[in-house]
Amino acid sequence: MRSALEIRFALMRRPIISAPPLPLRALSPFALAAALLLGCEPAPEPEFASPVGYDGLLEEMRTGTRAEVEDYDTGEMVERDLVGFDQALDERFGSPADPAVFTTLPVRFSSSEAAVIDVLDDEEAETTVFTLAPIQGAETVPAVAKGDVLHWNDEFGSPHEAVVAAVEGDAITVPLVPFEARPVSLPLGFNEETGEPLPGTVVIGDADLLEEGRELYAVHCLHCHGSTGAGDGPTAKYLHPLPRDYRSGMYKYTSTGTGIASRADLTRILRDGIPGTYMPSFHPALDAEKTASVVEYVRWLSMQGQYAKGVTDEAAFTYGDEAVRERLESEEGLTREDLVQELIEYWPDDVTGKLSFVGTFLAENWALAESEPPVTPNEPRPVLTGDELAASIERGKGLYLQKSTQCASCHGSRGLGNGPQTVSVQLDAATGDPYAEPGIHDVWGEVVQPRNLTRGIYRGGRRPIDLYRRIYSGIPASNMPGFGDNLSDEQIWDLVNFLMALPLHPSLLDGAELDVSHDDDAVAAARPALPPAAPELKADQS
Amino acid sequence: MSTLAPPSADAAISGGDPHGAHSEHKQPGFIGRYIFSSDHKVIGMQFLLTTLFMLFVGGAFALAIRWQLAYPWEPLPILGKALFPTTGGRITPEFYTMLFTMHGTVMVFLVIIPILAGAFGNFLIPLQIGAEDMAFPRLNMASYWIYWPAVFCFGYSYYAAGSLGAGASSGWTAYPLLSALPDANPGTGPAQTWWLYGLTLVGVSSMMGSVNYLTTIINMRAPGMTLFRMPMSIWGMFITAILQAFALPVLTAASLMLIADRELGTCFFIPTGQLLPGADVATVGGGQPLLWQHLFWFYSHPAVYIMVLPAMGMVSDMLACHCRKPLFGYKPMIYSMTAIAGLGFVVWGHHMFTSGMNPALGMTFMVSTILIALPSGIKVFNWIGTIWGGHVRFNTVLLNCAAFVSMFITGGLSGIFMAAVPVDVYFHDTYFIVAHFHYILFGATLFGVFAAIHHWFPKMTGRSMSERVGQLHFGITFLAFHGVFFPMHLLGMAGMPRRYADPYVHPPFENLLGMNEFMTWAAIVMGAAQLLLVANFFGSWAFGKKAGRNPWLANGLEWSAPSPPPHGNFDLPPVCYRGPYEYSSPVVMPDRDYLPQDEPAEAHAVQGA
Amino acid sequence: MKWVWVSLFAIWPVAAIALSAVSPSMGWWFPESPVTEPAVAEPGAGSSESVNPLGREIDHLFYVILVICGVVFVLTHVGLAWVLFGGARRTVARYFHGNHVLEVVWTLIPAAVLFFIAFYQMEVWAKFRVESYYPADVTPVAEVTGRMYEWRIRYPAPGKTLMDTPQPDDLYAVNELLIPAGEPVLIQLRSQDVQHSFSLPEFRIKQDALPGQRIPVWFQADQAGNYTLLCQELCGWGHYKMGGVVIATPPDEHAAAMAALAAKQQSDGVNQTDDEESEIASTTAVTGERN
Repeated sequence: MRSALEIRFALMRRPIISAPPLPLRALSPFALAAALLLGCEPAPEPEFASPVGYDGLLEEMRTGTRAEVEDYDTGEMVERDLVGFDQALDERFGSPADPAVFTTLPVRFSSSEAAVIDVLDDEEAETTVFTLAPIQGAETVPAVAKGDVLHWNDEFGSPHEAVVAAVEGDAITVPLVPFEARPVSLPLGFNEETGEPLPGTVVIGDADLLEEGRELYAVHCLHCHGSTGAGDGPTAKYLHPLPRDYRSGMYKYTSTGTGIASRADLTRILRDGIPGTYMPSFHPALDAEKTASVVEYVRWLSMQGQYAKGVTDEAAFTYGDEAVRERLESEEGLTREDLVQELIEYWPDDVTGKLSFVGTFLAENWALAESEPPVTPNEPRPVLTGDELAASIERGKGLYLQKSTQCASCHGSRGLGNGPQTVSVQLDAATGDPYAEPGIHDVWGEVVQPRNLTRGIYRGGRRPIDLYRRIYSGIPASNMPGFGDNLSDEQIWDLVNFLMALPLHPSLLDGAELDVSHDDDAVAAARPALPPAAPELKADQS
Repeated sequence: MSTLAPPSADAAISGGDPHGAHSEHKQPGFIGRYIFSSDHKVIGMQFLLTTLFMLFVGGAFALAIRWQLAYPWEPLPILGKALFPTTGGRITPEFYTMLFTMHGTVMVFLVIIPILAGAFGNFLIPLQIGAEDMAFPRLNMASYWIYWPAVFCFGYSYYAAGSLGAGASSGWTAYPLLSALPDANPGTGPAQTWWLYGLTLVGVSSMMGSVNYLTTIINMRAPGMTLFRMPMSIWGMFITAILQAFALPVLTAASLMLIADRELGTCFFIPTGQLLPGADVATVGGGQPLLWQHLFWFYSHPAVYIMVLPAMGMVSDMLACHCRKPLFGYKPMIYSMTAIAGLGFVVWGHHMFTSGMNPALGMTFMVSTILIALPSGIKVFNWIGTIWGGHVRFNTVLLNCAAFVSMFITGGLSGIFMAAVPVDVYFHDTYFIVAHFHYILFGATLFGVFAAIHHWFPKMTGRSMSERVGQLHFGITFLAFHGVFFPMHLLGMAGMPRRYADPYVHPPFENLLGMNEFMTWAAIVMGAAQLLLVANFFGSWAFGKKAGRNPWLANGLEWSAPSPPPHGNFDLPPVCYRGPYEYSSPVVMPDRDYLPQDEPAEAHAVQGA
Repeated sequence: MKWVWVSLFAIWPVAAIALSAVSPSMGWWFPESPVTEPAVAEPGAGSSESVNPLGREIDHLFYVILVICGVVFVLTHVGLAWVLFGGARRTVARYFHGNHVLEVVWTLIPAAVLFFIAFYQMEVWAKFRVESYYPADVTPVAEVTGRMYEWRIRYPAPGKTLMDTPQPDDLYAVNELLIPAGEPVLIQLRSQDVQHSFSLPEFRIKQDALPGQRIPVWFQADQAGNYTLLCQELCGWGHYKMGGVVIATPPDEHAAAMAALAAKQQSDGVNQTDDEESEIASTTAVTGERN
């Protein structure tokens, strides 16, 4: 027995484990080291992406060119560099992580900004003296020292900078500034009493406030809203609804009555969040000061997107790939060179002028959002209790179901957000083509679900005034019409009362059906949604 | 040499041609010998190499976590550029949740459990009990090869959502509802389902192993190897296998229930009326999320002991050997191990003190949890007693074992804070917890594993590991370990929560950034030091000094087999004559200080303890 | 070399204890209570003592365990270092298999200590969660609902009691829980989506918000101030964002704050002065408007 076992063990004995092949072992440290060295170089900061259609523009228009042009002063022909859109956009905005100063825009770029109330040239000494004053809302002029760099933009929005040569009180001496490069206020304005032009603004140093906003944005916002504010951060693809794409300059929950949000609107959203979405409240992580700088940065991102888009759309009208192709086909003997020559001839209008025009237009719109008072009812909400309140709610319910208001056609006859419009195919307002999928679309082309009014989740805020504003001006960005022109304040408050009661008593709409029997004469067809900002811009120009 | 093994064995080594005439026994080819081998040693080595590789994967996750905690939202080195080109290499919060989920998953399910049971259990059990192989060699092979589908499932969960870095992200504990609602979070879609498949498969792999270990230990011991002559390693594996056999079905059931909730629309864990942001409809269910926590911890708390008991056993063996002295209190050690295993089944609720379960249950679980410190304490005292009066060899093995004891004390003591319900209310889900279980799982278990690797490496490969490199590796790892994990206690004291991608957005934690930076650099040093282990491991495998059968002059049966042992392990079926810890026995002193278990009892031989 | 290793095992516990000893002065200990503005010389302000009476009892229990465990930690490590030191000097090992008396001693003494710890804890836990799970004499101040990734808070209108279901005149806030200082308060905790955990480090309070359940949590701020509110159960990618503030003010100020909140809630843009709007206006005034 034993010997048999012995034999068996002896036969089976073989070394079981041996070393891995040598070349593999020898190579692995090098592979590791190479991966480490290559990988340690940090990823580049992302740049702003070009808007749709930008790459189709005539190449010279984008990159700029060098050509003989007539000198503005002497009338002689001189060879000059013509600044194209690439460089212009870069000068005006820089990159998301390193914002440039572009004082044309109503953005607070820096904590040290000053108004220029007087400009005096000293031709002999080849210097210019700026007299500074505090900007609106500030009390003192920020400290300026010799050697500081000043940034400002001229009438056409072109950026300029100068090194401070001397400081004497509020008078700052810099090297001679040509007349056309002087800082001016934009939008151009004049003092009503004296007729003097309003002061321009200079920024001392860099856009530090925006950079501060950017740092906070990178921590709190970037992963959803994306580096450039396109709403395309890496987290965005998992979210429903999608994070806001700031570049269109459109916001849903505004108090301004348009798609443009005021600083107060953005501040409120950062503080309160948007219930029912993934946008959380950032209170108390962002205090008032931090919130202000994030808001400023977000506004700047919006304006960048709108500016680039605006310039592109303007230029594409004459020099976009489609326009160019059409002209080359329709006009006999016209070559691309002719077009370039034409472009160079009209460069001040077609390129520089458009840069200036779009900037001014934008600045005006955004400034209006701040200066105009928010949408406010003329009549206060009546204080109602008991039967009066019930009657008001009943009236509100009537308005809700009325055919002319069409509330129920989107929000559904039970208020569940499932009205017939949500399953019908809609037309794209911009192109006139039907959307691929049924349902209501917002200006970003995404399907948007009308609110389920029985949940008690109010994305734009739950105060009566918030509901009033939603009804009065609608939500332009998601094509909810406003009823301010067609409903009286009293009627809107009835609707508000009804909407506030509905989540507490969903049975209010039990068995309700769209009322088709009697149309209230006071209510005409609902005003259509405001067109989005960009088409409006185009219409204005042509 | 002649004392090392029976004379017949020497003859067997020199004589006989392995490729000689043998018609009946078919020689397996390369694949049969190294890939789909049913030999327990090959499977053990497969497990060891795989789990060591996974250790590096899990460690890389840990370093990425540490990077984010030290430099929040700064570009991630090495991988950031490829993974997050649109953010300048900054990671995203959901990637962070994925990181710690995968770190936990990989370390617990793919490293610690299989490296103990799979690698050392496989390698040691037949050798130490004198068997020629496992009871079910093919089942054994299956247990290794089912590990890979599990790895695949865990790994595939990264890609399942369609892009890299969208892995399961509800933590390694996968609490519902986060894990039950596919729309809840970036990583809870298909990724979570794949993760659950992986969890189930890992469980199957462990279960196959544990059935095998139980059968082998009960049935295949060499003649004379009574239960109370078994080395502590075997006792550790034995009790672990029992724990797994009883607890694992619960986890498997729970994970199948969760899969059913996700895929089939059952609602075991989903209550009514929960509304996700942006969701159109609320959940309807009537389920109970607490149920998952009960089921999960019913396995995963015993799993904590699964993750340390075998290490305890191996450390007991190694301490006795390298202190040249019998183990202090062999039977109390076994009893306390059994007590830990028994109590381990009734303490799961201490993970749930703040969960909203019946508060009276909290008291019960508090008492049982605090009581489990008692057998643990007894073990510690016995280890210290084992070293006491020994002739200590200060080599890599002993140093790692002593570190095991030291870390186990520390981790055990910090456990008392958590066992006490009111105090745990504060510490729950803070870094104090993280410190505690890293002291146990990394500090204790992994140092025990390092020791075991150095100790049994000669038996595995026939060569010795470099002592110099080994000690260097130990020194750096030991210091860096404390640099990383001791400050975590203090972070926990300050209330820093676990699983926060950026704790510093909350003002109270702003001043903790400096400490976290230090910890991160300690972690990087510690990670780099593991390259020494790899270099030592493979370098020694190829070029190490040849070790004989019994380089440590140890007593266990495995040391009487050739190094590395051939298929079938022993020259002759060994016979056991005494317990495994007869070091410095007066019977053989002062000629030699060890008395192997299979050395035939002579007239003066003393029966083992 | 072996002496280096022996000393390593002796030195690290010393370093660990030294680090723990200096940590309270470095801010690595229990979070410090905020100093109220303007600074009031209240006891406990700016110290790491809990503002919650129950929290102070928990702190006491913690220190009891800390002392016991600290002593055990030192003794066992001294023992370990000592046996290693002895082992480093020996050339011949002693031969023995254990000591029955010692085993009994080091079973019974720890058992006694552990039972002491276990039973010493019970009273506080009973007080917090068993005897007064839902104290009858404490009126709930608010319903706190965790949602991804913020705390939504619903108060009853001033003078009314909190109902289980929303009422027309309820007040709503987000991430900001107003409580009166100096008296016990109770909140009803819920979750709107996944599991969250309502955590107040300065109060040593933590309770998971379990989906599908409403769980009462009570605590007391002895001292006015702003306290941190966190989520401490993984709730998704934005888990770390989920923070809030508990503002404890003296009862009269609290009532005023609630009244102000009620007014703000009812704002129709005409009659009621809109606090929030003016607050935002003041923010923008700081920012400055130029056009």
